Amino acid sequence: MSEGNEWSQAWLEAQRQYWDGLFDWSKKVYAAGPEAGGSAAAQETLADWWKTASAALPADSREIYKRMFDSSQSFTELGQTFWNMVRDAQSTGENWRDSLEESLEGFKKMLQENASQANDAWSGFAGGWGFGGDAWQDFMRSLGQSPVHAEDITGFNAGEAWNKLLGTPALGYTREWQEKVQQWVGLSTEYAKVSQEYAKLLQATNQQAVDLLGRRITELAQKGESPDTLRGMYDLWVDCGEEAYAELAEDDAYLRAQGQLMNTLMRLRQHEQDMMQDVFGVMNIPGRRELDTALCRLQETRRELRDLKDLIEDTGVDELRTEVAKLRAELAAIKGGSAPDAGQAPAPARSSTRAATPAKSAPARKAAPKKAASTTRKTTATKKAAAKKS
Amino acid sequence: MLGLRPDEIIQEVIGYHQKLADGLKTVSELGEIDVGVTPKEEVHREDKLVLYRYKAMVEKPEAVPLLVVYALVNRPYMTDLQEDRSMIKGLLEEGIDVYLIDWGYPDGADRFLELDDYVNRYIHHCVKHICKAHDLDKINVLGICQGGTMSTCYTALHPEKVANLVTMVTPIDFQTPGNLLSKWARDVDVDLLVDTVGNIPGELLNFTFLSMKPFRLTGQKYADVVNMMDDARAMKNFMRMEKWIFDSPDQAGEMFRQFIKWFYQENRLVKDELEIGGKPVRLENITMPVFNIYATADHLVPPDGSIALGKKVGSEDYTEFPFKGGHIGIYVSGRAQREVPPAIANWLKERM
Repeated sequence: MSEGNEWSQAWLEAQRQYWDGLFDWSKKVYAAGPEAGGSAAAQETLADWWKTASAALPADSREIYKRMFDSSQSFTELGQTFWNMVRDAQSTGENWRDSLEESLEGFKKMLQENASQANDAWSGFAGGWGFGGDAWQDFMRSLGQSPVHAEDITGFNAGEAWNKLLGTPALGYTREWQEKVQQWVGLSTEYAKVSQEYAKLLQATNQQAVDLLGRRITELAQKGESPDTLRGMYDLWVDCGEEAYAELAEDDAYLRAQGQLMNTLMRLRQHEQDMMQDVFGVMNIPGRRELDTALCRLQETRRELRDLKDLIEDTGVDELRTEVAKLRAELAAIKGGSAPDAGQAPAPARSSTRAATPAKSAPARKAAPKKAASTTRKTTATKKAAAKKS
Repeated sequence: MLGLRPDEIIQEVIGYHQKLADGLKTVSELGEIDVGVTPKEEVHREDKLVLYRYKAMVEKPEAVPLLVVYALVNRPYMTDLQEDRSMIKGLLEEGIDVYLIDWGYPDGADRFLELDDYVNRYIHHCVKHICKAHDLDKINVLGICQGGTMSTCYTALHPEKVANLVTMVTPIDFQTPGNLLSKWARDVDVDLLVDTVGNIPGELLNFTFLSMKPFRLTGQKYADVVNMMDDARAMKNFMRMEKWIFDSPDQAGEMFRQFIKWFYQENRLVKDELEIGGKPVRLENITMPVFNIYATADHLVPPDGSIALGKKVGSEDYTEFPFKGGHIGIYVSGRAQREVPPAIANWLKERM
């Protein structure tokens, strides 16, 4: 075993021991009851463990394992929710339905609180599933993250007074720039507003999913059935979440909100780019606009060049060259007094000899046999060699 | 009454985390995640495009080769993911001579590539290259997903170069009721998007696909994997799939603009209103035999969007092949390996 592998094994063993210790600790925490806040503390400790343990993984695997680790959060949180729910239901005996309803209301409230504290729409909606934060932020970053955070702007009163202020005419030597800044604030405010509307729609879906879960549990109970594992309950919760989301995803209001979100963000980004372009212009530095113009022209030129090459190729210039070489050889042979071989019959031009192939039949081989061309080359070479000798 | 018990819930949560921790050792020993296993050689290159020819697996392959045209979204190694999950290998074993286009990863310099460049230049040059190498006038083309749409357009524009057309999970009618992507694209100002960001980042596409089924694809899927973390082979298979899912090239801006507007928003292809490079694309020009494979549970390309091809092509030899599965399963499931490559190969052989 190489030194590196030994180190890796030792490292993993150390992590394993740390993990075992963590389990002993988490068992004690859970024994005291998740409602005591142990679950959140355990999650924090797990996150700390992950930070160190992940270093032992190859880069490819690290990213994927992290996704599994993130998704474990939802499983644990659901465990806590149902632990409370089941305990309450057991203590109320016959009135378990009332208790279930109460627990689900608590669940809804918790989801709502999480959403209100989230940094973005998707973290507030599906963050608990391990989806949201990273995926959404990667997505937003890829579009060129704006320095404006919608959440920071929500504190503003984006009402009439605010709009009036933004509408105040700019004055003086820097009036153009002032106007652009005013427009930027206006676009940022608009984006914040649209972003909030979008988040509201997503959050409402979580509430619908909880209602759906309650209905499903009751329906199962009426048939004398119930998920008897946390995993079974988790799967039921996923089904309810997907069902509620599928309805939202096709809803007109959501389609409009999604489109508006993207469009307002792009308007804001474009305005920021224009402002940057102005700054670059003052410093005589070429920006994206100039580069795009150059790239567009370059692409156009390349396209024309390729089309010309294709045209030359398709009109059979290569075949014509071969033909000319062959005719020269024949002429040389005639001048030299010897007739060309019978096998040197001129190869017909490619385009004129192709047989029309019926739609369903196998494709025809090229009509111009390659043999003829190679014979031509050979003969030309022989003649050249003969001329050299003489 | 709920069938759960508080103590069992706690045990399940602890057991779940134990498996996750144990799995760390399995994952750490997997090494590099290798993909694209079947031997191949580069035969042609243009800009970032590379045309590969796979090494034959039979002594005398079929005389007319098959060109596989994959989508620009994600990478084509999905067709050759691993030894026992490879559509390419299945085709080679059936005696088909297989070529594949790898589009590469577009960057800022490719921002102005258009649909015309992809169809009338890149694909056309690959077809011409293969024709020349095999001394043929025409070859067989297999288009997959978006690559299927481009192959269909290519065939309609250059019918003399295509002997048989095979389409796989290919959108033709982009506005069928079940097409969620089309609905999502409806209110997006694509001009503004492309004018602002240039090339479309792969992350945008990742997010879009994941958000079609967010709970299943970002939560439940990983919860399922925890149960197989002690199986190194199964884990490696899973890792390969994950690598593919998140290996999303950026999309050339102009191409994206045209594809979203012309196909998703305006549905021009099926309405006979599409022009590429100034030439009308008419599906009735597709008079050669067509084999249309679709997945019955495809959430990205709904079946009715694929089978719309049958009503529009001019061919009298049109065959449909419904595969019971989803958009991904059609490449990698065990049943797909048994059913799809032989179906393609047999259909082609009957026509060669």
